[in-house]
Amino acid sequence: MFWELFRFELYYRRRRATTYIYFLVIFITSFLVITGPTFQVAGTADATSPNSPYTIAALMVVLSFFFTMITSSLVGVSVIRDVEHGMAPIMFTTPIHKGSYLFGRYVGSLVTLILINTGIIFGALLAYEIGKIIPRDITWRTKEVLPFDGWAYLQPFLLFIVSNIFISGSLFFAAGALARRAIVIYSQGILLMMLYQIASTFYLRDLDSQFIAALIDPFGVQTFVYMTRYWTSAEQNTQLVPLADVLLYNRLIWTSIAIIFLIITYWQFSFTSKRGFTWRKKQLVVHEETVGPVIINAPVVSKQKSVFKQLLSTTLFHFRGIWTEVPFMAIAGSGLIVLFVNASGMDNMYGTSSYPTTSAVLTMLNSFALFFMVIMIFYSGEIVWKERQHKINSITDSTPIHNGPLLLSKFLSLCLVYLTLLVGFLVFGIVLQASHGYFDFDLPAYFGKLFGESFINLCLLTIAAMLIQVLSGNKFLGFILTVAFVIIIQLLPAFGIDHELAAYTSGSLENFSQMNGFGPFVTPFVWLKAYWTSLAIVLFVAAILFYRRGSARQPLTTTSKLIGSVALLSFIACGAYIYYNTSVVNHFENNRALKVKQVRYEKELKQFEHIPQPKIVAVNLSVDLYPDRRSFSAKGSYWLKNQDTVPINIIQVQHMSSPQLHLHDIDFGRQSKAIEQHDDLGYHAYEISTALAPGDSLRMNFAMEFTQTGFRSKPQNTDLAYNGTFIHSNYFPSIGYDSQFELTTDDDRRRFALNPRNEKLNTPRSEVNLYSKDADRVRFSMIVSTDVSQTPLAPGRMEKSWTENNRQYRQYTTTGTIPSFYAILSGNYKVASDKWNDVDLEIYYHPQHHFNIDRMMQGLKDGLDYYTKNFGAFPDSQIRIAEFPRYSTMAQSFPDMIAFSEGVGFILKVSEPTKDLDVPYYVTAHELAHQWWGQHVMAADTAGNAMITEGASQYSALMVMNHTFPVETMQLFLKYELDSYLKGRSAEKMREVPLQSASNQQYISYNKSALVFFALQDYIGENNLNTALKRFHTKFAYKKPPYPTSNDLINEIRKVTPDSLSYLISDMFEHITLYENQATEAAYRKVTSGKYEVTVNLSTQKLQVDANGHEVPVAINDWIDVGVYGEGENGKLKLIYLQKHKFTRQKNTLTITVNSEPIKVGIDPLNKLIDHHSTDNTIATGTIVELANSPLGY
Amino acid sequence: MELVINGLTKTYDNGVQALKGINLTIPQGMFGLLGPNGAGKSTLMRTIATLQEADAGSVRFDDIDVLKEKDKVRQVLGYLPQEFGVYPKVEAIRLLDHIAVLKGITDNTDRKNTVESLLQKTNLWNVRNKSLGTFSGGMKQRFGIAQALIGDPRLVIVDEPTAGLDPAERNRFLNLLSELGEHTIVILSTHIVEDIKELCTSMAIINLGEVLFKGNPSTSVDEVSGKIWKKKIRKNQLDEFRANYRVLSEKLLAGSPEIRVYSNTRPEGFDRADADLEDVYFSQLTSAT
Repeated sequence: MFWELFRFELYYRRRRATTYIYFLVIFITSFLVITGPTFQVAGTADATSPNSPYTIAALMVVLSFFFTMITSSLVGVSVIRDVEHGMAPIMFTTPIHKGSYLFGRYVGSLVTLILINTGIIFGALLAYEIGKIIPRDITWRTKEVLPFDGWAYLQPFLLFIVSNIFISGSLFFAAGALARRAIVIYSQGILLMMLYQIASTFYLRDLDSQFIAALIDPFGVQTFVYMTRYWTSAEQNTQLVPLADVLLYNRLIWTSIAIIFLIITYWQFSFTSKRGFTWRKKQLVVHEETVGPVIINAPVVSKQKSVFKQLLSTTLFHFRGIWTEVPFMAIAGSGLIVLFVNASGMDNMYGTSSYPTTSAVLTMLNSFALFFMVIMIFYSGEIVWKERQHKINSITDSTPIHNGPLLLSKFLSLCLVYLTLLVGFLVFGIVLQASHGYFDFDLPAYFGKLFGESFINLCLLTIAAMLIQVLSGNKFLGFILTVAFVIIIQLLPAFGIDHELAAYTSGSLENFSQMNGFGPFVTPFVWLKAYWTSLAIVLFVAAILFYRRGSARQPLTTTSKLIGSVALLSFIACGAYIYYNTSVVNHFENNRALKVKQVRYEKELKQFEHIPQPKIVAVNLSVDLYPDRRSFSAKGSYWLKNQDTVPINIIQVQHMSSPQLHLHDIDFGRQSKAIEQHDDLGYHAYEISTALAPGDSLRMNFAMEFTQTGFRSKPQNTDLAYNGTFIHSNYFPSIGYDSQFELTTDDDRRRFALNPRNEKLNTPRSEVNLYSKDADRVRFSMIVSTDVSQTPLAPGRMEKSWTENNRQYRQYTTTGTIPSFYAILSGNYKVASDKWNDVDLEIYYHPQHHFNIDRMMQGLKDGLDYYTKNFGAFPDSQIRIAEFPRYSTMAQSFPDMIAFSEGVGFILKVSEPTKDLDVPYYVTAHELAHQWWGQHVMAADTAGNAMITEGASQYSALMVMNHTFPVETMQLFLKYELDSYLKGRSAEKMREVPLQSASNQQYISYNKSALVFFALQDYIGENNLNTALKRFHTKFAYKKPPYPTSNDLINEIRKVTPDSLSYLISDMFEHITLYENQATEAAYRKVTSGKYEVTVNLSTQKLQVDANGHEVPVAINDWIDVGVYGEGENGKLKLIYLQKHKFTRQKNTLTITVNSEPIKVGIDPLNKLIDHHSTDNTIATGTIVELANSPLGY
Repeated sequence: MELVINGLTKTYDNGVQALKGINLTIPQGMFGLLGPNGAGKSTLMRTIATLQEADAGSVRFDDIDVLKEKDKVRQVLGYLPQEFGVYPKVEAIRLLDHIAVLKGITDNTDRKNTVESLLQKTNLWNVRNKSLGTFSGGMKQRFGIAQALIGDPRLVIVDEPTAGLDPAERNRFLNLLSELGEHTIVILSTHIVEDIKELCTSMAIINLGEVLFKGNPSTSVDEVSGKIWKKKIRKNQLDEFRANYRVLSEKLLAGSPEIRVYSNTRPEGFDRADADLEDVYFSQLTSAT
């Protein structure tokens, strides 16, 4: 009987068109994803093959998550089918055993599903086969495709797709069989989605949560990410994800849950009645006496109707209807659970939470967005088809209400649903903030994001979805089309359509900054929303027109026509106005156009790169900022000096290529004429009448304006802000062709037929410093003015400060010379001042961000103490920290000035010193260290510059922290650095380089530097390393070219390193070295009282990355820590033994005598070395068995 | 007050010709529309109820062109569809109130009075706060008539209202309908002859989209009176009788068939039968085929 039903199910599926449609959908999706211009499901790394086993697995994992929709519609409804088609009474009274019935259906649809899902494999195979020859812009055209390997497809297919089908299929099947309502199946899908959401937010939290995320994700997506997080390209090309560790647990947990659900289904399912998870309602039994004829005179009523009241009453009716829907409560409830889970940890750095600022709370609330989307798609359909669904449409369709109010009330009821949820969020957010003792509620931020952005977007989408539903004439088709619509409008930029006028619902307020509010985003937002709202009204009128009453449409009323026409006019008018502003007044360039411009720059002007140019030796600027207009004007003069050996008669002036920037009145103090003018590229070349002789100088004067007119399409310029302007020296003209404007990524260059650009790696140019190729060190002075309510800041000592014409002026001059790298900030600041010796310490901060000022101040002081003592003097009389808005979350060091984003350290909540890392202190110390490693010592513009600027700064900050923080915090910090490094190298796009060649790779220059330098000072001693750095500083600080390269630093370090440890230099700086350290077995015995003998088996392996990117074992002859933990205070572990032992073999047995009872023992217990698996270095408590008298026998 | 249907024709997309030039004039009062399943009754009813387009012909209700001025029709229409659903979780009073709003009764007092009196009249007052999902078939049908009567309609259309009701509920329902006809046109479509007999003053029989008969139920019975004959036969004789006589109906009577035939003269071996409306109905249907 089972086989009968199973065969029938297959037969039924074979005859259904949907089976083939689903297959095609999967097939095509898989094909399109791989051949698409945005194939980034996995393996963005250049060295990763497009069909590496990892890429294929990642593709399958992600698609499997998306295609759970298909699982729900196939497996779930296989039982409901009989109920919905009214076949149930017939089927259920046949003598089928319920097991055969249930599992016949179940297995039949499962097999169908698996066959349907093979579409992924076939789609992928076809894509790899013909991807390179079809005319699509694929990302891997020039990459090597690995030979076909069937197991690479089959293994992840079984591991992820089949198991996911089984898991979600079982749950859907259970829901379908027990509840017998389609909607319950879908709500269950939402529950799975919720778990997925929770897992993915967990993954972004602290390190321990990542494991939990990997464990609980029902689709295995986070599990996959977790398992492969450290994989390098070489591993991605060769390895399959093994069914082991957390993946094994995850699959076991979910398979068990699925099986339990199947058992419950079998046990609870009954042919006779609904049982289980439904709420049965008894039919009313009312005893009524038969009544005789009654006279029915319905009361005569006035036919004077009020459309408004009609609207209100109907809206409330539908609104109540939605709120009492169980599926709605399930969706909203799931979303709320996700919110609560997320609310328990605000976005964090190094596991340290931020204060619940309104923008942090809003980010957290945004995790409901997906649920809003589900509610929108689902209930737009439900509400449009509500009458039909309940078969009450013949009654309602024949009532005299017009389509206008009828549909409008449906729409408004959804709006009301959104509003109630959003008001709930507002209250929730505020309560959450208050419960943390945080009372800066920033109501405009709440209103802007919740009611401005979210609400309007939902309303706009709802109208589109309702129209789609009306036009599609079928709810499920409508759902699919709505989903497609939502996806398409988000994918438009990927197809090169990135004008905001094209993407329905475009316009965003972006990040709320407490400093700058919604800043430049407001105006375009308002206009775009007016534009889309007008269109939405037109769409709504169309929905009214096409909405069928009975079998026919209803003609539009005059009011609808009028409203529709006005809206259409308004749509056109707003569109025209936006177009005028973004594309006429301002220049609109899409992503591609910008790249084309970069290509032109290189092709047309590269020829001038090597014309000898004078260098800037002095910068004098007078800058007037107009924060209210987000504009500035400036007058300036540069002293240019010919440091070449030949006379110079051509001067190339380059400025930022922005139509808003107008550079004019360039004058060299002598006759000159423009010989090349490329306004759009910001390039002008002048021939001066009298050549500039070697050693001679001239003064170049210029004037410039940066003017914002009208408003722009995104991206907005956030450097110029109403409050918190932060502009770099790159706004001001530079001299000579600037290779920074060229296209950089290999992918892009390939696409535009340019040769890969790696001269930086190959040709050491120690003549040029990292900051500017047109200057060495410059004398700098500036007069900067801004609105009287703000403080203008620039590098240097403040010479004068005055107000004039309601403007605040300040004049700054630097003491000595600085790199030609400076910035101007202006904001409505509060100032905290302090002193360190004779140095003025000032922190200019936004008044709401007072939390960590003391920590930052302490960071400055401790840093100054340590750096002046160990590296060199601090010559300036002041150091300033100035806050800028959160548009980028970083801090940056300028000569005696540190710009610090409001999103980095200001709002972090450092409460528990051992658990929370004092990020503001650390960042301050790091940025301050750049004064020595960056400002004083300028690195050469060669590969490896980051080892000097970032590496030495990381080390400096680490030492300051090491003298302040508890050991646990340092270990925690290094643990995060290790995780970031290992993840970073796995995401490397090109090829990982050794530290000595690092330039832009943050995971090397920050994360690996921290690890390497911390270990190095542990091995050779802090003082020795400091001596090396001090010598290096003395040798290169404030000096003219040649600038130091990483070799110069390594040479100094080598001098202080004993021969026995010289291998470290090679391992750490010249090679990529990783360890695989592990404690495998341990036991101890008591020798005498107070003497314990621990015997431990330790395995160690040293790996180095070879020329092909593979990690290969190398001979080991290394000193590595061995540690033993005993019991310390409060039952905590305490190191009772820590010594370096020399290891020469992979397998080692050591015997150590300690003075108290050992609990844990291991190799490199403090994770000083870079280790793939840092948690297995010690053997955990409990695995040591006390063996009476016998030592371990190996 | 009358409803005039002229040459009404409708062919569905699948080729089924549901209405083939229907001509009917329906006066004030209770009008019965009789016909077997698939005769085109519901199409006709839905067309009058503004839910269905016609291919040709016209329907006029006094000065309203029903096919064009749907809005005006809906103002005066009460419609109880053949099959309809309810929102199962909504209480009777709330849904009735909602429909009253849709019908344009926006004055709160007016609406409250209407809804409450209709609930009382249809004997649903005691269960007004129960959700409709718990209603029995008869209660649901009474709810249906209650909603149809909202707003004092002048044209009431009830499509197959008694199908599936038990005898007691059916009686209760017919009693409800009986007093409606006084000031309004009530069109009652049914395939149950008894309904018409008990309620209607005029009627029409339609089959396969055509009007076979129109007139008064009792005079129509008079017309066939004396021409109906009955006989008990054996089962295997059925085909033989069918071939030789105009058999109107066959019924089982205590296990053996009794047939009724139409004949101007008494056929051999048949007894005279008292003519009733059912005979009219079947004689019309058989003459047409």
